[in-house]
Amino acid sequence: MKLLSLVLCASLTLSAQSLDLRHLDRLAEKTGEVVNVTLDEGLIRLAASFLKGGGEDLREVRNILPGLKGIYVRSYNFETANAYSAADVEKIEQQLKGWSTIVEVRSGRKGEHSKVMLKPGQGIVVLNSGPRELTVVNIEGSITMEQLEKLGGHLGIPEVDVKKNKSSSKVKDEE
Amino acid sequence: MDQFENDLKQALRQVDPPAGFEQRVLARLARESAATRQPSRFTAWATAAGLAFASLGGVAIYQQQQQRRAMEARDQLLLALRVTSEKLDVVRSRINHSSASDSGLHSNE
Repeated sequence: MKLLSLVLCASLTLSAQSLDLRHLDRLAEKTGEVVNVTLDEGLIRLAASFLKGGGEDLREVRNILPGLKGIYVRSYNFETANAYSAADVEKIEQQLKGWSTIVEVRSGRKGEHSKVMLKPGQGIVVLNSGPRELTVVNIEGSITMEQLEKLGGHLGIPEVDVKKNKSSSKVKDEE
Repeated sequence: MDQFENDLKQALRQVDPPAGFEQRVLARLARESAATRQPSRFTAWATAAGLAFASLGGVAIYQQQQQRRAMEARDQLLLALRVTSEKLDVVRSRINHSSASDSGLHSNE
């Protein structure tokens, strides 16, 4: 079964409280392919000081940084399936109660699940899970959908077309 | 015993110093005092210079560490944004794939 949800809003200010992702740390032992990034506000400011210059590519990145309070990434690619449990994902989703799901794609057949969630004034979370993959991205702080859109094409960030679906809300369900 | 006492008295008799002895001693003391003061000045300058170099070195090391931290933070930031990019791309491709094979899709709007 596939569930596709689209709730796209423009000009929303996003920010987030830090998600507790510590329960995922044990998964690092199960794979050699791990991305673990923890950047608090101080480190983002420090990093921003080294993004001066760097050309047009980094201009949009530099523009969003002042509003950010934290960036947290946990990404695991496993060699075997079922290396993590549904409870690991549920523990994250429980912390996101009250957040709006702007995109959700679920494939029961493939066991894949993607979600992009936001909470006005709190932040944005991207949650991707599959049989051999689990990724959580938490961008904490103020970021508008326009800024996210403008990041498209920079640093390989895909363009997010929010204008086309502005203020629209669709929920589609496929078996 | 008397002979011994006499010898002792003779040996311990008060003898006047030779002429100019006092001036020579005072002059020598002045020379040695000046000589000993010279190294202490040098030591003070050397210590000050050492402290200055140590301070400058400390500042340089701190700046180097800050620079290294900043570069690591920048690399982490760019990595995080790249992963975000890739994962948003995955979401998009799943949406596209879902839409393409969406013949049985119905809306719950």
